[in-house]
Amino acid sequence: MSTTNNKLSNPNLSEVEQEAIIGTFVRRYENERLRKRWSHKLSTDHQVYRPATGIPRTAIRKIILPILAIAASLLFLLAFLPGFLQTDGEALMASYLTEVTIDNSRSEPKTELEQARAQLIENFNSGNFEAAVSAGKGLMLMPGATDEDRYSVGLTFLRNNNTAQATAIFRELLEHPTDFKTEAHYYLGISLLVHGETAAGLSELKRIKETDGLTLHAKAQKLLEAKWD
Amino acid sequence: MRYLWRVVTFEQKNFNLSEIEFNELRDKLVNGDQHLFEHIFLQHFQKCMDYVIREDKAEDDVAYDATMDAFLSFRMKLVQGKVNYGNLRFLLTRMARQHYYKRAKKENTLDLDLIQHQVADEDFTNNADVMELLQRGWSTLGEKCKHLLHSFYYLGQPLKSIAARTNRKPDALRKQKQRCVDQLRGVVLVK
Repeated sequence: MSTTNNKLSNPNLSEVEQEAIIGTFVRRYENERLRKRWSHKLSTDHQVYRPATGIPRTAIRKIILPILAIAASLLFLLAFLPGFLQTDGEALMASYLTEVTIDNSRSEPKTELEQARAQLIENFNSGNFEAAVSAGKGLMLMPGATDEDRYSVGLTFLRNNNTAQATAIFRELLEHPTDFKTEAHYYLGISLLVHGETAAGLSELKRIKETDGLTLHAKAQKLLEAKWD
Repeated sequence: MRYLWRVVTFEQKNFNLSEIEFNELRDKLVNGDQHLFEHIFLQHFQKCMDYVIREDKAEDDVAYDATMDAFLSFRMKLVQGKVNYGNLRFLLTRMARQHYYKRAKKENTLDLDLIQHQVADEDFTNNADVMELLQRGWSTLGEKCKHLLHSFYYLGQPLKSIAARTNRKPDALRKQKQRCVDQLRGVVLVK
């Protein structure tokens, strides 16, 4: 039992000590009554209510806020950073398209076919895609046109933004065994992407394996990893 | 003119009370009439609590309790004649902050000078066993005893003035008060 209790039990308790103990008790007791009365008056007359006991702000500051900050940062990283890190697919595709050239290492054109082919290549590589398309249409009608010619005409349509025609030519190339199978898959994918058929285009790019050619495979993979809206 | 908005009148610092009204309020409290005090001060409770929350970034519930503590201490100081007319608003808000510091057990950067009596009282009243016994003892007292102890200890009225008001002899009242205290202590003695 406490010292105060022992003192109160002591019949020889001095008057000063008694007054201190009893006075303190009465003040505390009456204060508690008054606290209840004022609490009631505050809520009924002044609409002031005692807020529910919550987690101390210091605890919030010390524990919960850092946790929330970390969680928010992680959420931000998960939600937005991949977007920032991810290359924009359309921009990547556009940059790949501008790199496209058609091999012009052939010998001096002599035949009509060779001249049409040379005209296409020259216009294509100089950026005159409309003229290249025109030459390509003529080339396709010639009986000696090869898969390589079809492939070049497909690229020409693609660069001239005639994606439907480009798609048709690359699909046609894939209908039979050809040395340009990987290129056909790759540019068919690109044509579909440019045409706005993103899922179909990416699906086509997925067909390209590492063994099909490192350069096109690497480009296809980058396009597959890129961000597409 | 530019700083006119800063000017706070003397009465505004004292909850719009003139010195005469303040003295009247104190007299009423000493005589056990709380209504005027409640009418004037409770309407400032919210502002005082908000001040503690703002200044000390206090938790709402602790700020409420600390403000209530301050109002009780302030009332007690008024009764004891320890509060002078001057800047009551400053005094009350300062007391509320000191009570907040004590309740929140914050590192004490604030002098608790205004609530010292409360700190001393707590050494005793924090003892739950004693408080429970005394409360049990209190419930055994008659209304006359309760009223007498309330007037003497809580309202701080001297026995002489209580005797004069109740047409009793001071010596008789002193004996009655002792009997009341003995009865209160009796619960502890027989425990």
